[in-house]
Amino acid sequence: MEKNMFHESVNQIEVPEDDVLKAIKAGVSKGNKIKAKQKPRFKVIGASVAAAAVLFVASGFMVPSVGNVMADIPFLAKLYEHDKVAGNLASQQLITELNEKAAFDGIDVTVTEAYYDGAIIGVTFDVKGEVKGNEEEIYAFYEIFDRDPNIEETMELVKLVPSESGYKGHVQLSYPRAELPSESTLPFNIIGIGEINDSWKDEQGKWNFDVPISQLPFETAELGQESELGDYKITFEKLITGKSSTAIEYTLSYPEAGQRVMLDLFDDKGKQIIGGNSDSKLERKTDRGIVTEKRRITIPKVPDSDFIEVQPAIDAGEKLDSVKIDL
Amino acid sequence: MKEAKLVKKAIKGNAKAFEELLILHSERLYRTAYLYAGNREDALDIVQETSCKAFLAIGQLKNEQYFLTWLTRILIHCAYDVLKRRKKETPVEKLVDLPSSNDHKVADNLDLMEAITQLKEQHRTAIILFYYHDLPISEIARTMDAPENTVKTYLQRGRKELKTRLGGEHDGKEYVS
Repeated sequence: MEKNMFHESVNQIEVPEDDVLKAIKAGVSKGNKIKAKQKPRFKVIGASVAAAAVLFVASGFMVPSVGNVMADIPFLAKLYEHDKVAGNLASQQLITELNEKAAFDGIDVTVTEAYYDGAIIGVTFDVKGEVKGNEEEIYAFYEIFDRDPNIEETMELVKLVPSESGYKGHVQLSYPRAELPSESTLPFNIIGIGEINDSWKDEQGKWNFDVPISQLPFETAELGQESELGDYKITFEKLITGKSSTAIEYTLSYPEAGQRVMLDLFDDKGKQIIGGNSDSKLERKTDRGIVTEKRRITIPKVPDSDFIEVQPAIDAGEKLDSVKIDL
Repeated sequence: MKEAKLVKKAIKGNAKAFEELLILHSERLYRTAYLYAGNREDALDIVQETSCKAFLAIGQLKNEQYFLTWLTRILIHCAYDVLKRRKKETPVEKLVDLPSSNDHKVADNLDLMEAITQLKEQHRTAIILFYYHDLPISEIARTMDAPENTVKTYLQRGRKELKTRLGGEHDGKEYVS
């Protein structure tokens, strides 16, 4: 067998470029999350939830099965206390109360609250019944949007908080599609409840919900501001201001073999806006070597600021002109 | 940006630099994964797992110049994992994607791909690294954590297996010293 012939054969394997890029990005992002979870989290979370975080971090290293699952699944232990949007909306009495029930294997799950503010969705549920495991280490593993492969993360674990009658769970996610329908349902299926089980990721939903979600009133402002550097171009299209969250939609175009562009956000006092922001891709097209992505940054609050200053930079360090978006 | 620079940045924990690096080598990663998996879905799975595991371990890479060898080794381990998982589910023969084309050349190449996906794990690794990655025996030995003579044996046996499966028609010059 000759090398040339082998190469020729192998080079005929068609490479699905977009899917390979997606696989790489998904892998790195998963690795990044696992890394983040391995770092002490005291600095970024409030004292009231520090104890829970310590338990969670420690359990990841001490119990092998937890460690294994953590290596495979994005882990977002979002306790209700973390969710500023929910807190703000609750104080404004804007969260829809629900009473959607599902029962399986002696455990009842009731979806109790849902909100949909601008670009962020939140769901709260109660768990009652024969939940197995240590009360401080109870998890729910759920899937959203029927594991749609076009959405980056569709399976997550959430740590449940003991309540008077059982446990309470709360999830929050950025709406991953471009359109923001006024009325929608969120396919939300819980696969496992209790001690983390490795087999969960191969199982189907047992407590299945179509959570009705009404879009809270939000305002959209057209922006049309641009920043450009060589082949890199960012157009800020829209500002979405919800009752308790803010989102900026933008279009980014860059050469296919080019570098990534990072956006840093600052308030009118020059203070960086960080904590819970998400920057998600809504669409991606490649035409003659130029990639065009429609993206949305979601900030889980309405900043107390006259404007948001966006500072784009290419990975190599070169900066594009910053843009001020009036709030 | 030069690759060496990216590797340095990646070792320091820069996720974007690391991603750039993988993108630079994406075709080779995917095609190597495909040689193990024989189908697109599993190959993509292998690429994703490799990206995750390599990112978690990049801080431990001591010698920048061996980045690609190191990455390939991770990919091979991930490929073995996927193969193991799959063995429990479906016979390997059924997993090679079949082409719709009747083109004779494509069919020939497919035979080769299919034959490779049926080789024993170590033989397959030696063959892929030697013929596709163009690595010298010493480097293959490093990647596979095996003595050079063992690698030569793997190559000889792998070639023999391939020859049997392909009916001997693709045999040509010997390159192994």
